[in-house]
Amino acid sequence: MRTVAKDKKKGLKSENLGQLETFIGRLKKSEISPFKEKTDQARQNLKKSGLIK
Amino acid sequence: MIGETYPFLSEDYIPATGELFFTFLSQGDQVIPKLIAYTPIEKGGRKYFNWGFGDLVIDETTGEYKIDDKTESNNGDVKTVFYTVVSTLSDFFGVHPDATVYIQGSTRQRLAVYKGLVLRHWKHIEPFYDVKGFIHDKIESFEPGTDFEYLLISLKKA
Repeated sequence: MRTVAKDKKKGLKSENLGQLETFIGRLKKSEISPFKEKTDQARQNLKKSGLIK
Repeated sequence: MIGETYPFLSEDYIPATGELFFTFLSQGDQVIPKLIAYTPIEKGGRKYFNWGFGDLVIDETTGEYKIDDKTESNNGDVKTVFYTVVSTLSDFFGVHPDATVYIQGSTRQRLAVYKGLVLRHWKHIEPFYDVKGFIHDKIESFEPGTDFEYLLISLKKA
């Protein structure tokens, strides 16, 4: 269960909100691979530890 | 529940890949959009997921948002951000109850801050999650104070 901060009213400018929506849309369409470098490193580390082939 | 969290701007699950994405606004000294992403480590796999977390910043060249997981924004709200990030674990395990989450800090400073918060709230985390870490070439159960290279978190089964 989350207790959501209620006194936080700051937001993004409408222009930036639009850009953020574009970014999220691209994520959902897999046009962006977030944290790819870290995920590749994780794959190597798990291979080294024998947890994955 | 261990503390106050920020509301999410978006929460997305991509069935085709198993990925989960969350965005929210850090509302400290500045307003900074943040992204949390759970991405499968093995191509087409559903067993291990990388846990990624970073700021979303405008790329001056393209004018579009890009991910920055190296910068320390020091926005004065590290606890609320941490609690928000941790709160996504229950959503993740709701979708992938048998998966394991791989966590490795992107910077030493971030890792140190988060390790301190994990230790502080260990009694709230330990009952729900199996936490293991990699150290000295092997996986060991999490021990507060141990300097693990990376952590593996899975849902504790009843």
